[in-house]
Amino acid sequence: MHHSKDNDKPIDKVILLLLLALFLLVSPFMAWWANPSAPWYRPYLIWLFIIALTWWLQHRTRRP
Amino acid sequence: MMFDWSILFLVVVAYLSVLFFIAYATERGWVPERIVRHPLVYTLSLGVFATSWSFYGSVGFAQSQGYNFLTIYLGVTLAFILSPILLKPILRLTREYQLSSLADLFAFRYHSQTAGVVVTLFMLLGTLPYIALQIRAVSESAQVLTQQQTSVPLALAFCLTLILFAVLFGARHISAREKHEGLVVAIAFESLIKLTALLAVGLFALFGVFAGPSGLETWLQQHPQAIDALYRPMQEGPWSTLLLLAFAAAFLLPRQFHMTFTENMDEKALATASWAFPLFLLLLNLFIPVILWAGMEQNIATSADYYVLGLPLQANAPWLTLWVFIGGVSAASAMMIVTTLALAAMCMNHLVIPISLHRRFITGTNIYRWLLWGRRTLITIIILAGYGFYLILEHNQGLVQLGLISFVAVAQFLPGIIGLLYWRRATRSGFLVGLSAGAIIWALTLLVPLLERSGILLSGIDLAQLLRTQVDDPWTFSTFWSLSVNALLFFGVSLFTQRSNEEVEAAQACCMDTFNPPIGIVQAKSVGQFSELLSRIMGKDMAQQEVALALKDLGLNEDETRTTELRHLRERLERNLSGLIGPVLAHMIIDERLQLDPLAQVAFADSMRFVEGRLEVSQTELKGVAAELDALRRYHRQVLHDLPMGVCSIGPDQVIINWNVAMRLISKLEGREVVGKKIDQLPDPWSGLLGSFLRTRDRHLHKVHTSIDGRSRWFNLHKAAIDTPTGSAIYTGSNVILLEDLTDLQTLEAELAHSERLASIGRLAAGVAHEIGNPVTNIACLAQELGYVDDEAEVKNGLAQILEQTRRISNIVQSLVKFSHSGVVEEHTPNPVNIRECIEEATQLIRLGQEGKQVNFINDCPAELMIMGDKQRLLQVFVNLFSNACDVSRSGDAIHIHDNSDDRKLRLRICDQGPGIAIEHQERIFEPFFTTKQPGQGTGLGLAMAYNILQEHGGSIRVTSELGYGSCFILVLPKHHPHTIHIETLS
Repeated sequence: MHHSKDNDKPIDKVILLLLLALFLLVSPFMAWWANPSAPWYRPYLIWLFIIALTWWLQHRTRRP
Repeated sequence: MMFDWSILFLVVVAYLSVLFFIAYATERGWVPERIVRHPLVYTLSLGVFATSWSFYGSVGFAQSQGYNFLTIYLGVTLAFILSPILLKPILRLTREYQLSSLADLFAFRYHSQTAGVVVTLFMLLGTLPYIALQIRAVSESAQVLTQQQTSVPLALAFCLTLILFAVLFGARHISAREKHEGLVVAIAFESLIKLTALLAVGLFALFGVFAGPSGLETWLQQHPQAIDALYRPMQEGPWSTLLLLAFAAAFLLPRQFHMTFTENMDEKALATASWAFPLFLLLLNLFIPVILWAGMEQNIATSADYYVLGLPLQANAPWLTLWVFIGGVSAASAMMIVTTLALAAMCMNHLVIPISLHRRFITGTNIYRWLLWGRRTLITIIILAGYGFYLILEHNQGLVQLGLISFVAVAQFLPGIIGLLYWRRATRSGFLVGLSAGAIIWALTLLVPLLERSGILLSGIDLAQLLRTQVDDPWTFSTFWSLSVNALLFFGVSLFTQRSNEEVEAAQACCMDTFNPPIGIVQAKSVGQFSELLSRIMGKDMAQQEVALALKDLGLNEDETRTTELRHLRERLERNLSGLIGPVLAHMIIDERLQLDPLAQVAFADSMRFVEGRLEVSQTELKGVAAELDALRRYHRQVLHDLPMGVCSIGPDQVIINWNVAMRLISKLEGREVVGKKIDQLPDPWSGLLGSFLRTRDRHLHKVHTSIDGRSRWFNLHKAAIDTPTGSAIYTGSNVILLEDLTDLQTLEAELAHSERLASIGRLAAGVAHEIGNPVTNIACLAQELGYVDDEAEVKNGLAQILEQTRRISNIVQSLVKFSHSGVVEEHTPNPVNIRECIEEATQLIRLGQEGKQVNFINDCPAELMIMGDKQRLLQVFVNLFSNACDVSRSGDAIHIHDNSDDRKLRLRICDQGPGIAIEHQERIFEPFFTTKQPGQGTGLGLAMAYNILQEHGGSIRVTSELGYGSCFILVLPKHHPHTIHIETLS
């Protein structure tokens, strides 16, 4: 029988990704990365990181 | 640099003409299908989210609110991260139940026309300022380029062209159930224009104003307050509120809902969009800070909202300026077209149709035509209403402010949509009370102040003053109070109110984790009755068209009568009508016309299929033990499916539940045609074969003969009642039938029997030659003698003797011919057989072969003993047995045939006086190819064949033997009584 290591996919991972995104965007952690001494493009890097994780998750879910 | 009005007008017309052409080319099929349906096209079409607010307003927003402007897109990113559990379920619901708008979705879930009306009115009210914003952006961008104040003619011309486009390409089909490929490709093209224009201005700002990244870096070092102005508002401003608002807007805004769900052509495209769409938004916003700083550096004369346009204008770059202007027109036009289409569909389904559809039915209006023109009229009215709103609104509001009013409005649907997807207890009253309260707070805190500032309302109520709160940020204040009150009332009222049966049913359809199969069967018994019943309300033509469409969707024929399929047809009709006239009316019409018999039990097969269908859909959502159990279920189902033996399970209601591959190959009947049918609805011979077997008490039938397409087939049938350890009531009375195709084996057996018969003839050949040789010699002698005899009496005597001898030869030949009768497979019709005669005949044949050996056959079998069977095959049994007995007998030995029969059974003992059979051989002598004879003297098939033939006759054979004292074969067969009736086949 198919014993999938993906047993916990994909919803659990989606929730984890959302929690990570919320941690980055609305937790006190934001105060650390969003300070004026940081380069201007830092918010874009964080945004890109979240997009990359979403892409990775989709890529894994689609793989048979 | 300045532009003339006429040039801008021509540019707008030319650009919109290009859009017309793209949409037209797509609709005509000139654009390849793989491009139209490509996930990236779908992703770009979602770019309708980026309106003039994003295109022009982001720079102004960044100036006033710093990086808070990014929340509008980060919120969308969060919503698309959740696409597997948030957007995908909504997409499935809208596709499955043909729901074309948010109002349809809520009306369907809360089973309320009022819900549809409230959602539509609130959406209209919340979106009109947004449409006005778009017209204002186009008009103001033109003012920036012409540096003149009035731009009313351009705004009006823009609106009229959009009406034309929306009517031609957005309301091309009768209902929203058809996709508008032309519209999707045109909107995707518009997104591409927006993106390239903003990237071009961004690169122009970076390299044209700052001379590259290093120049920008130097400028930022000289102006540290510029970065500070971006980061500081994140800590102080409405960051979290805006994130929440954008999260809701990502899929609840009418245009987003329309492009994400209604125009979606492939479910998989949503998965691509979950990362590609946020990436598109990131690229769109990448250069916003750079454009802002470049505008500040260049001291652009316009407000920051129009820096995007002011930069190339001040730098005297006419082509880039026009490109950006077109980008702005793209942003505005895409939003207006899609929003209007979505709102028109909502207004049609929830405001117009409920009031006037009945009258249209009565007057015999062509409903399709009426619906089409109704939507087109609504499109015109909505765009003109937006234009009216633009005219009366005060123009000192920032672009973002107008957009955010709509964002807070659509956020009021969040509690309702979460309840819809995940809370079955949510009720219509809870939804309506919560939404109404949220809408009132929204209006008091945002809409009324806007109208006050525009001079439309003289004085309103200051909610903040009533609550004695100091309002620093109107967005957070409005969002917090409206959403909190909305959500509290939604959950509170839901808990204290009851759901109607329809609501319970709709809630089950919306929450994918429910597995309750539908109840009741349709009272109409044929497709014709469906058309007839529907035609009483919607006219003959429309009824027939809708029934034909539903049949086509389901792949059914007009002669369909299966109850399960008819209920599917009813569901499909309701869904199709839902796409046409909204879910509530569709449900009412179907409920009234195609009534269900609630007392009739749903076929078990149907319930099974429903649950299996649900499991298929929710496969990816299953996890843990549920996923393992599902994998186990699939494995077991596959085992049954792939079993090289026909498997067919039948429910207690005689409905076929399962029909595996082998069954399909044997019967040439496809599973999907058969499953759901009653056994007696199967074509011949299957209904008779399986039905009669199901009714008999026998659990096994052997070598049942039947004819399929004129060809003889043989089957073994086995049956078992399905019982569950849990004693679940739903399985009681179910059966499984196994069908074993013996045709090939039977053919082989017949060939072997024929070979054995020929082998017997071979063994008899010497005796036959001897037997025939004697009379031939006699004839020759008699013929010679006749030559010398003159006496007529002696001649006659001689001739009589010759004739006697020829008769003797003839008898021998006849016996041989009978015995060697063809062994081809054919149906053996049972006839009464006299056993004594049969034994006599076999004895004669055997005597032919016993060259010189004198074995005495003593036949004690009574002359009246009869059985039903095939004489030819029984003759073979006796020949084989006697032949073996003779082989082991010495000259002078006797072979006894005793009769020990009773009333029901015939029992024969055939005993020889041979050396007997060793015990270890006794167990194996009936096996094929087992022989104790020397190689070449026996095939080892004789006894095996006798065993099979007797079994086919419902009899048996066994042996008793003692070494040195001979062997006895005991044959048991059912007796034939002339007055009893026998089954047709040998079984």
